[in-house]
Amino acid sequence: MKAIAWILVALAGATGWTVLALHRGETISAAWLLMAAVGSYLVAYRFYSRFLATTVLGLDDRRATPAERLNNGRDFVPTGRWVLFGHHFAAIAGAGPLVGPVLAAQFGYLPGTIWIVAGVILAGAVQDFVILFGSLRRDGKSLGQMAKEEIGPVTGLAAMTAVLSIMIILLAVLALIVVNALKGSPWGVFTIACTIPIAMLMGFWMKVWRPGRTLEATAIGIVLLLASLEGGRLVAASPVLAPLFTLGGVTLAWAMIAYGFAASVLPVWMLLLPRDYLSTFVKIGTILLLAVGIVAVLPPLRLPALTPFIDGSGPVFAGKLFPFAFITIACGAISGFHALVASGTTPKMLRREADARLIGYGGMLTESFVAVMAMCAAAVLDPGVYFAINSPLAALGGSAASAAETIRGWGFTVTPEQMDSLARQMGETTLLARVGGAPSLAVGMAQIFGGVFGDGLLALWYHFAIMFEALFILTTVDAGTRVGRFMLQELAGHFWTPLGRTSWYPSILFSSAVVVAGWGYFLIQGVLDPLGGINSLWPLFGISNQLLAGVALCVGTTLLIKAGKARHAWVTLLPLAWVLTVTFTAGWQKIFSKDPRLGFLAHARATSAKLAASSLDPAQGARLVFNDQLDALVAALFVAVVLLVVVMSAREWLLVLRGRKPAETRETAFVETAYAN
Amino acid sequence: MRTEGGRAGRRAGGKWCVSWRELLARVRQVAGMPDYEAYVAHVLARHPDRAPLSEREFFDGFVRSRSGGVTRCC
Repeated sequence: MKAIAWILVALAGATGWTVLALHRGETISAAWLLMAAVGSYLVAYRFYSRFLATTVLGLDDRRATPAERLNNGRDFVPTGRWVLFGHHFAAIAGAGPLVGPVLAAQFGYLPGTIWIVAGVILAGAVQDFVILFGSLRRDGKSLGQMAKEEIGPVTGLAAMTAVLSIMIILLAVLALIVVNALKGSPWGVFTIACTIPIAMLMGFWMKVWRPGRTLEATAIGIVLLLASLEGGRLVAASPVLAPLFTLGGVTLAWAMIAYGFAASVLPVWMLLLPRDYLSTFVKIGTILLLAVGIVAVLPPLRLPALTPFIDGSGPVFAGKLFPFAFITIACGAISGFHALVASGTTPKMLRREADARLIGYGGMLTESFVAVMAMCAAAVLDPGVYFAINSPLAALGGSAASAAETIRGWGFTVTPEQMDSLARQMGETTLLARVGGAPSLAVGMAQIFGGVFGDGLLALWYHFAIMFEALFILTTVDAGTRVGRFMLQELAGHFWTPLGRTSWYPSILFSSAVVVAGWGYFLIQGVLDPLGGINSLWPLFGISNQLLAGVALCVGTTLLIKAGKARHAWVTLLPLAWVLTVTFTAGWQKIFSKDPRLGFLAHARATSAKLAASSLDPAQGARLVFNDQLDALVAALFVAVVLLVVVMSAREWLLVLRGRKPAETRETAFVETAYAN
Repeated sequence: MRTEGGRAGRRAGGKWCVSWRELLARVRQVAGMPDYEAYVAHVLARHPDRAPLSEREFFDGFVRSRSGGVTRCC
């Protein structure tokens, strides 16, 4: 009976893929895409993750978990599996899986969808599961600590440097997405600005006025947040208030930098923590709502399966399908950052080892499903509209009329009137060249929600979607700045001990300023970039996130080989080989490609040539050249650090496999569980 | 069966049937919020010789233990 059910699930998935692959014509229902994805997830979870759990990792329910042995009622707490699943999912899923697929939709919906589904099953979910397991067997040690203990101190230091520098790029690109979404949008700016006083009110509520009443404070916060969404509409409609909240990119970027610094310096309870609670609930609620909306509407996918831009000529970002589809979609298929969460709080809360399968592998499958939904939301847009929103103004020729002409040249139709009426419907002045992915995702989500609840509230839904994205992007920005600050303090402590004291105020101010200056620099340059910044920063982020995945997979492979599971080490080695191929190719092309649209150095040369011909403002030209060279250097640095980790790891594997080094891991000793299983 | 860690108080109605308090405890855990009641229950059950921290002390310690590492991803 069960076998028949699984055959049906597999058939449903296969049918979905077949229809997607063979379909030619105008539009196709999102149902096929969902069927293909969900069918694949179920089969992968049932069979592949079971193989990983029993044969490769050997999850053992008789073994007491750190949560059981070290239970302190605080961070080590045995937690029910579904509760922990929700907690872990809320920790790993953010803007990445939403924005990446929207940008990659430039190639059409098919390549991205195939990568999201195949990538998560064979790479992303495996990485999360293996690292969660490794940390679980080591009392919740972090990725960096595991790299240090299992491979060596140099590798540990390299991994930490990689994490810190990747964080800088990540924060810059995320902040840039928010800036682009809020630029010239008084409604959005007002709503997002309100989240700061709301969070502070919540903070005082649960810390000072009614200690410990976190849920109460959050409930009040959510009500106020919804009120501020409506308030934003009134502000945007008011001739007096609207100009006050209509801000340019540079102003918004400085506001963001000030916010990041404040959140890193102030006590956590005052700003960071309450915002985090707010964002968690809004995130989970909206993602559920989006799933319900997509399933209820089953919208037609208007975007073609493949666009002509697979040849690398696309306006959203430069580069061919290979490797850039796989770089643009990092989160959702494989995200190195997850390895930090999977080796952080989650392993300290697992009640039984067997739960690691649902939480590590299943949690990542769920994030992949979020990415598939984002792809659907992008694909429900008219292709002409999609490109009008996501292409930089420079590529569109500078005006609404020239944009329509340019987009017709690409083979899609959109009229200036169509864009105007869409902007009015969404309560914005313009949607042209709103790069970064967030606005087009919000338009797609508004259309899906409009399909469920009626078209009357489109503007409200649009701004709800913007608020939802900005809210948890800012949560990543503030939490990331703070974590970056701690890491920097730890590193700096090696050079001058007082700097390592995490609660010494001069050290807090100094290291926070350094971290904020790091991402703030890239943010401001992204805002000033005539091509919108996403063009250069998003690929850099994708490359760095997947290089971090490379580090995690190196650590995972080491754990397997040292545990005597070399025969099964292909489960991490295959994704490692793929991730390295993709990132090294992309890294090489971003640095050395002769095409100035693609290669940083070629772009620097082209800009220098323009400068020499005096067709460019000297100050702006010099800045562009410097930034290109800096971007090239950053990309080269990432690749070099990861190459070092790979070489050190491979050396360790060979030593163990040849018997020159004993195959022993630093797992904690076996203690039998006291739970009745 | 009574175990610690927010699982106390389960009713006989099966896995998905929980009391209001239990539901709130679970919601708190999903969001990563401190759960003082569960902590006190833990101390009383496992360390009867120790006095549990006050709610404020517990809150501060909880916040500190959660603010050092990466808890939110991209």
